[in-house]
Amino acid sequence: MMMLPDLTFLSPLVLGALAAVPVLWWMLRVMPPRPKTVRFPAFFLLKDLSTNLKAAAYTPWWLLLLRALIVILFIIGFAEPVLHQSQNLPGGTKGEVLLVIDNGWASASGWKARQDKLKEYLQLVRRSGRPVIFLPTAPSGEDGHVRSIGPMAAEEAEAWVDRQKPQPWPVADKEAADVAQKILSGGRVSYAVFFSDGLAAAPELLNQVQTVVTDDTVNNPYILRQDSQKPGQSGFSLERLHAALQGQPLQILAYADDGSVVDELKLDFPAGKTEYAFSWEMLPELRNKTARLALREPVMASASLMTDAQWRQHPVGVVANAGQKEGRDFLNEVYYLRRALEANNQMSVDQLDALLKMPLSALILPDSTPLTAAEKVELLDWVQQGGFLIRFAGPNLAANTGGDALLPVPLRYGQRAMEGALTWEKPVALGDISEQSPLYGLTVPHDVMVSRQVLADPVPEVFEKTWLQLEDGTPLVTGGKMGKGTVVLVHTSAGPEWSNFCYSGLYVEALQRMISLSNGISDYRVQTALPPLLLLDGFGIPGTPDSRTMAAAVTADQEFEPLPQTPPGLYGDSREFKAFNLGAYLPRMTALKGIPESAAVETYSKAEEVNLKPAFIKGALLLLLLETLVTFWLRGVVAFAAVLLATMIFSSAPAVAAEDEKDLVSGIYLAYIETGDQDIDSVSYHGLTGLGQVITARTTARIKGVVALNPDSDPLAYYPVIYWPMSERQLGLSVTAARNIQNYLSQGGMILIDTRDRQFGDGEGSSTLGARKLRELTQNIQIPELMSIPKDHILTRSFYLLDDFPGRYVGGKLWVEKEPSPRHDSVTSVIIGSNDWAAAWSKDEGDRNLFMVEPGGETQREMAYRFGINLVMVALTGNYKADQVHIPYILERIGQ
Amino acid sequence: MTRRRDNLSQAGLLAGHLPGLLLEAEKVAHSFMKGIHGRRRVGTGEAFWQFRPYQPGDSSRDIDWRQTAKREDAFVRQTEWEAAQTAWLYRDASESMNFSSAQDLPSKKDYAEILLLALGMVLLNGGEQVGLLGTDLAPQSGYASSQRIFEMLPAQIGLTDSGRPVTARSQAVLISDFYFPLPELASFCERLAARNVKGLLVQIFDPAEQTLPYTGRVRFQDAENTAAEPLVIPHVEAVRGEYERKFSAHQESLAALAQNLGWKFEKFTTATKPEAALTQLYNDLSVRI
Repeated sequence: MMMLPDLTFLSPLVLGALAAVPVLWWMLRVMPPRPKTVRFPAFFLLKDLSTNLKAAAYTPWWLLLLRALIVILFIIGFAEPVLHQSQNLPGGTKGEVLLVIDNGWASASGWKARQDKLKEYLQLVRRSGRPVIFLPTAPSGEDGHVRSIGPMAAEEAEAWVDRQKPQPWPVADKEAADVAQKILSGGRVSYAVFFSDGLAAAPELLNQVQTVVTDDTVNNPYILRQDSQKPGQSGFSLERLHAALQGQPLQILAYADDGSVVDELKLDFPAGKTEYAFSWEMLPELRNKTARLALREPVMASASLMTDAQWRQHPVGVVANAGQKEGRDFLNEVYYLRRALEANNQMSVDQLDALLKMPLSALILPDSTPLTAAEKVELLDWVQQGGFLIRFAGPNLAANTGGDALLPVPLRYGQRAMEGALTWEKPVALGDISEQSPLYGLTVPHDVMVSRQVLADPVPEVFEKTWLQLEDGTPLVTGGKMGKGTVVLVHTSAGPEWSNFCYSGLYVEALQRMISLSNGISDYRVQTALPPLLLLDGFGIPGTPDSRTMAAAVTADQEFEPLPQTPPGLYGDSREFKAFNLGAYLPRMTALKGIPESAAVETYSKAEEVNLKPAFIKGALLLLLLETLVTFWLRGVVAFAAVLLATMIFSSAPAVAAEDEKDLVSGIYLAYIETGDQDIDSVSYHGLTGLGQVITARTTARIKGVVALNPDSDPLAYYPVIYWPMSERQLGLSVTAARNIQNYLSQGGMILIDTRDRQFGDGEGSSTLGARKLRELTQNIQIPELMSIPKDHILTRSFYLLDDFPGRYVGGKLWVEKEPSPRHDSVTSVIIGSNDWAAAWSKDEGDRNLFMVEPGGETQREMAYRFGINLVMVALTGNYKADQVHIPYILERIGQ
Repeated sequence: MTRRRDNLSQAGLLAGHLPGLLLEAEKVAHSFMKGIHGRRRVGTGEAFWQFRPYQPGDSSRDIDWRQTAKREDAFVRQTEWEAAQTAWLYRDASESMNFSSAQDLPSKKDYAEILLLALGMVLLNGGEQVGLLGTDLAPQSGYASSQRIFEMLPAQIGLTDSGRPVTARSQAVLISDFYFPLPELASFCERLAARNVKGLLVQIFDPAEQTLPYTGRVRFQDAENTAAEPLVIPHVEAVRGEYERKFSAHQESLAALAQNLGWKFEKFTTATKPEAALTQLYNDLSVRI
């Protein structure tokens, strides 16, 4: 196909104005530019020059040319020239055009580009005045067969293309080839084009078309599969058709039933690979809410996973005899298990034979439930088939360690008692969880005490099988494979008999974690015919089946296959349903090959029309600017031109400032307000530098530097906390400065105001110098109501526990906001004190302290640093540490 | 340093500028004075010249008794010859002098004043008397008088016969760009020459006035007379050659004028170092004395 650049004018009449250009030329010759003026002393000499002056009056030819060019560019620009690369569809103007379109699941990637390309073709078809026949290669959702549409007029065809959506099942290329054959044999088709989805197509089909449209960027379908081999159902794999040269950032979203996003996972598809396996551990709550997982981009049925009971629920059975089942007894193990499990799991409490009939992913066997020998064999069988058994120890197990097969590790006879009349030992706390343990990552509370347990025989494999251990290293939870299944043993009781483990959060979390490791309902089979419940469309969006669909129930004896009769989606009823996801039933993708030599290959990229009007107008305006500058230069107004030029060049100056700002937000800077008093500013600088070093050394916060601020002109918003020493020399704040500071405070900033006058008074008196200065400076700032710092204020414990806040002086009162706004996390915005902290913090370049601190010496200086660290921590983290750290000590301090 | 001027505001305007001028002139004068010497011949003066053995005919009042007592013969003390000449200085203050073509060049007026003051200082230092042509200032003597000359300088507004008459057999130094009809100048100079006044015409001009360095279309305005119709020259390059010829012709006629009267003619661009110009002027003057 020939590509011809083709220039047309949308408003050709404007071009008539070009005729006026010679007139303008003449006018410009008559009106030369204004000359520059020179005041000249030796004027009398010039006055009687004999040279003929008039003849020399002219406009430079290049200026004339420039102006003429500007006018011509404007005229052409307003005539709206449009450049388009247009093609002519071969095959003349006779006959019909056959458009074979891949519209199976893979075509969902880049569907819009496909539609655009189709429409572009339809434009060409329209020009040649031929009718169109469409042949979608995927079977129709209405009758399950490949059907051609048309012939129809190109206008009508565009509307048809707009209505099309990809189908969520594979194409039937062989059948399509047959249909194409039938159409072509009619002899009326003069040209045939195949719009490929990039997957391998039947050669019979390819051989019948003249042009194949395919494009690796548009044709890059993804398949998201759930990896059923991996325990915990958190394994996935992604497949794509074409490996990219660079890593491809992808996002997988988890949607709830109502379509809202509950979780997301960011991935980087590695370069050069077409398959990528990954795992995604979701929180159980989120996991249970998830109804569908899908790639954010591209949206395709093959990259969309519906979840069913197997995904969401891990039904758990607690083995109990009749007496235990409903027990409310606080010594009853079942009671604790029920309380721990019922929130997050579908749970049944029953006798073993009843439980084994149910689809369960895990069984829990408390010690108090006696099992008969036959039951034990049944249970062992269930485990070996892939069941997940969690056992708890207790007196029964301790007495019968021999011959019990349902144990992950061999046990010693008897129990280890760490509390009681006959032992010196004390109950033992829990130890750390090793990284190899499946329970790794759970928080171990330190107040869990185990007083009795069963002991594992110290065989070597015990260490590998230990999931949780006591402080002294004895295993508390052990687990191991048994056949296809898993047995986990908790070496203490499920109730409070042997330990207080059952009171702790870890009890719930650990059970939850163990259950999520189980396989789900592994033996869930389609028992009856399941009617379609929610079906995915071609973009992987679930919807209720409409009346036109031919989707039918999936029956037990039928091997599922994504077809118009059985599209991917959920089948069943709202209580019991099963997901049939496209990915699970698709073979590995193979790319399109074997395009016959005779066929032309084209991409999906559009042959765009380029409107040249903006380019022409832009050019004309640039030349106009140039002309203005040149004219000014000719008149000698060089300075003005230079200013104009400078303005143009320096209009990029804000970008430079933005660069600076970017630097400021790239790290934490401490800042102080410049008072104009050099001594105090220097102390502030050195003080904050010293504090910054200490903070960087002792905490994870990294202080990048210290910034002096002029509230009048500098932006304050970048600094978490600003130190403001009071100085006699500081001039009153301007209105802008006051507004800046006010804004800073109201947007969550924090200012430490230091009146530095502790040595002159007790801070109570309002007549000290600093206090007076403070009142004077802040008269335009609205400072919230203050109170003397309470004992339990966040500043006393955000990093260090402090009673006092000494600086260079000691004992000055510290004032904080009385009712800090909840908008700022209830963190005080203003802190006022008089202890001259910067002096205590200050260090010079040689790391020497610059000031003595009175009267406490170096201890007091250390306390001053601690105050500074607490201050910065509060500024950085807000109140969240208030109730997080030091809880034991705070409790102790409160006296409990 | 206060200046008495009728127009106070103008004085204020100039006050910041003129002391600088005086300093500049002093600098120029001092750098020059280091190199000059006395008259080196016997005469009536204050400065000691030499002792000479008494010869018959010498006045007994001339005998230096102290010297005589030291030796066997009588000695006469001779002083250096000092004959005070009067130099009448003039600088043109017309509008055309307020011109400088480049930022780093002084205006012609500034240049002329520096030259005048420096020359005045050198002459005063050499024991000459210095007067300002066309003002009421009596000829001054003594180096300290340079201050008075400086203060009186603004009173010198034009080349007129008013003011204190020029003493006979004195020297006249006229500093100007001489951009006015020569006959006017010639008649003035002839009147002076008639009184046996020797003269020195000093032309100060801007380099731009000599070379006409402008290009393209330029609109020239008369600096002297702003009301005059400006002259638009469409292509300055085309007239440059003719202009340069005219300019040097003007200088030649000035030189000829001076020659006719037995006067001297010097020309300096404002780019010349004032020290060099001063040396030239001083030499021109001393040759005649």
